[in-house]
Amino acid sequence: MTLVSSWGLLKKTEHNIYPVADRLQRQFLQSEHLGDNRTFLPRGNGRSYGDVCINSGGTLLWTGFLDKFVDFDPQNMTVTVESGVLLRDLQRFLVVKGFMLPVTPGTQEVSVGGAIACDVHCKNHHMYGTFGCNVKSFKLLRTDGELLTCSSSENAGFFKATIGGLGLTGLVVEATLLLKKVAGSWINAENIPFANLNEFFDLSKASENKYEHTVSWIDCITGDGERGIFMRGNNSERRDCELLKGSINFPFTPPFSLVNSLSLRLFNTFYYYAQSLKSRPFWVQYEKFFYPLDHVGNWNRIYGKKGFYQYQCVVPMSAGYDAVSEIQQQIAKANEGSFLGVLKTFGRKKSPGLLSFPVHGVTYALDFPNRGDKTEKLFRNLDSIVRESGGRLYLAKDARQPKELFELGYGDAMNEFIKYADPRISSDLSRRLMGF
Amino acid sequence: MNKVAKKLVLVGATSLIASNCARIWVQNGFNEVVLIGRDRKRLENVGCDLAVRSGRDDFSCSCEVVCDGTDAESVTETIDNICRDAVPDIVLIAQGSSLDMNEELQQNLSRLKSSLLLNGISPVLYAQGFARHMEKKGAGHVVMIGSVAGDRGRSSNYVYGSGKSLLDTYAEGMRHYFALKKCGVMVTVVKPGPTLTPMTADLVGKVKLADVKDVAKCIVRGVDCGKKTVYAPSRWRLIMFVIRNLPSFVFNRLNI
Ligand SMILES: Cc1cc2nc3c(=O)[nH]c(=O)nc-3n(C[C@H](O)[C@H](O)[C@H](O)COP(=O)(O)OP(=O)(O)OC[C@H]3O[C@@H](n4cnc5c(N)ncnc54)[C@H](O)[C@@H]3O)c2cc1C
Ligand SMILES: NC(=O)c1ccc[n+]([C@@H]2O[C@H](COP(=O)([O-])OP(=O)(O)OC[C@H]3O[C@@H](n4cnc5c(N)ncnc54)[C@H](OP(=O)(O)O)[C@@H]3O)[C@@H](O)[C@H]2O)c1
Repeated sequence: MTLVSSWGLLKKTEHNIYPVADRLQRQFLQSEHLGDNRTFLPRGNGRSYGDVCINSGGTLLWTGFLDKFVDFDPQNMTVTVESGVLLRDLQRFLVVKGFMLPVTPGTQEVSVGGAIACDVHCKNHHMYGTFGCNVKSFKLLRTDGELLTCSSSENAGFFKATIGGLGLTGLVVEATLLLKKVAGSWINAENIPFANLNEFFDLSKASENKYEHTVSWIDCITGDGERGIFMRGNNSERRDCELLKGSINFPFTPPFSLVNSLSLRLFNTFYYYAQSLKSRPFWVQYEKFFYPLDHVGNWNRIYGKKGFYQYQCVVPMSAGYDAVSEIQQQIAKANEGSFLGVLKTFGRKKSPGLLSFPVHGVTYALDFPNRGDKTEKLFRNLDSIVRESGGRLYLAKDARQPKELFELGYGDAMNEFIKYADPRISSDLSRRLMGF
Repeated sequence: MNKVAKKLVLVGATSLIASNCARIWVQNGFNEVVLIGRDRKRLENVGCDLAVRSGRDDFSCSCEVVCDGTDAESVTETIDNICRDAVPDIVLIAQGSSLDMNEELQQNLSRLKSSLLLNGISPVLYAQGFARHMEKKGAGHVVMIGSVAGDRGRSSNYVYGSGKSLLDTYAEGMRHYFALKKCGVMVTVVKPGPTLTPMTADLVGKVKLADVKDVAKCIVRGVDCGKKTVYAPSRWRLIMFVIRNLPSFVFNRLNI
């Protein structure tokens, strides 16, 4: 048994770790490898924040060794890889050949399997939808040993359930992904400061047709209104390729969080003005643009031994303004939060995934150092705002939402999803919210 | 891009360390790869991965199945086949296993023998087999993956370790032989420290394991510079220097 946690470092629990050695292996499915709680859970690179990648007392089927490329087809613009391949390695392979993955999350240190299972989104949701919208097919290994090829036309039920299915339908072994063409490794970007939410929504509306990538940093604590920086960009026509080298590592976990109201005020003021200076369009290497946090390895340690939460919700567009504004007020009142406030609108493109998170609307994400009851009290207030606006929380980030909020957000889809769940797979999250 | 064919042979090609080294060599211009191992389908998966990563039109990869790498006849036949058209530039010999517990091997002589055959004899058969061809050509590089465990016998793994230590003496002898013959064949022994691969998967969370990509980079760098011994990661050179030089009266009291 080995102690394992998720990116949020909220708890460390005992697990049996079973690394899947290669895509032909089936041995791990024997019941003797089941942990004390008698269930498996696929595990990628452990970059989800909450308990979706944790199976306390059970077995994690770790995919780190499943890192082989299977096929690259530039004509049809697809690539097939094993599910443990990290998006970083895949993206670096593709970009020098003039392609990119259409959708990648805010870190490229995630596995293809994890990206499918959480149906991750990017800054370009309004154009490309989610990761799952760009998956052509995959092979799904059920724990009874059956290997299913799934696509929108073959085993379509499993296809829909597995995209955003949180690993609960089986182990994705390999996947064929659709690609988009790019000229080189550069993004033409622009930063526009905004002073309040109205400006944010106006900028979003004005930018979505012309800019593939849009996202905003929002200052959760300083300033009078809801100021922030609207960042937008397109893949540049610049044809050369540059790949980043090296990163720094946050070396240890301090006993307490280094994010507090003082450091937060200083950082946010500095960041706001520094970014405001860059308002003229500039070229930026894609990794710096999409994955700024990857430059500091293990940055999650900054929140100290108690770990941290990320609260990410989406609310429908009609309720967006009021909800975000109320959320901001609640957070400022509680004097909580962190540097990493993100605001973004989601487009209308629907994902095939049953439990997929994005819906047409606005999403708000912010990290919070774990301060126990105080933090939970704030979350309860935020939950009410989300509930009343008809929104829901992102399961890849969740470690604590009440079951009733989950049911309001995902209840309808769950009835269908449950038919495809694998009876020998569960996670801390599924036991907490889904009852299995 | 380099148009001259560069040929790489991996023995025990399904090894994660070996296949990660091959990824780098393939990116650096090796365009002909031969994979030797026990299971055709798994070898083909490794070949496929290398082909995609290489991206060269002139890339070719073939697989040779050898069920028993300690059987001199099948080893000879396979090597002769591979060298018929072109003698490889680099042969990386990677098969080995430390999975068996030393205590069990101490009690079971036939398993003890298998472990010594796998970790010591089989690599040497391949090394010598390819070296014969390289000698005729006057060039080539034989690389054997040994282990830090081969540097000093320790209670917990001396069966595995002594198998690996055979590679050191054998490589030393080969280098001496080629030096006297003034022949350009090079011989390297690689000694990885604990690295996260299927062989060490049980140790996850118990021992600090190096990342296989870093280990592979270190190996390729060392081999390409023509080093005799490559420790990977390189800090193991110092660690093993200290361990090798501990006086017995100290060493025998330590449970390391
Ligand atoms: C800095 C940072 C920024 C982020 N930004 C974004 C963002 O912008 N947008 C976004 O959507 N997400 C974002 N995320 C969340 C992250 O993309 C997801 O949590 C992702 O799923 C993590 O992938 P992983 O490989 O680490 O999977 P893990 O965290 O290990 O697992 C996540 C889930 O995937 C399942 N799973 C993993 N592999 C497989 C497999 N082979 N088969 C079946 N199921 C599998 C697991 O069971 C688990 O349910 C961010 C995370 C971080 C740390
Ligand atoms: N990982 C470490 O920490 C570490 C440290 C020092 C040295 N090494 C050495 O590095 C080399 C490569 O190992 P790895 O870490 O890359 O592990 P690996 O991925 O598990 O590879 C082991 C290799 O050895 C072969 N093998 C294992 N048992 C065998 C047997 N009984 N008969 C024939 N072949 C067998 C395997 O072939 P199959 O795929 O057919 O099973 C595979 O090619 C080994 O020689 C190992 O001793 C490893």
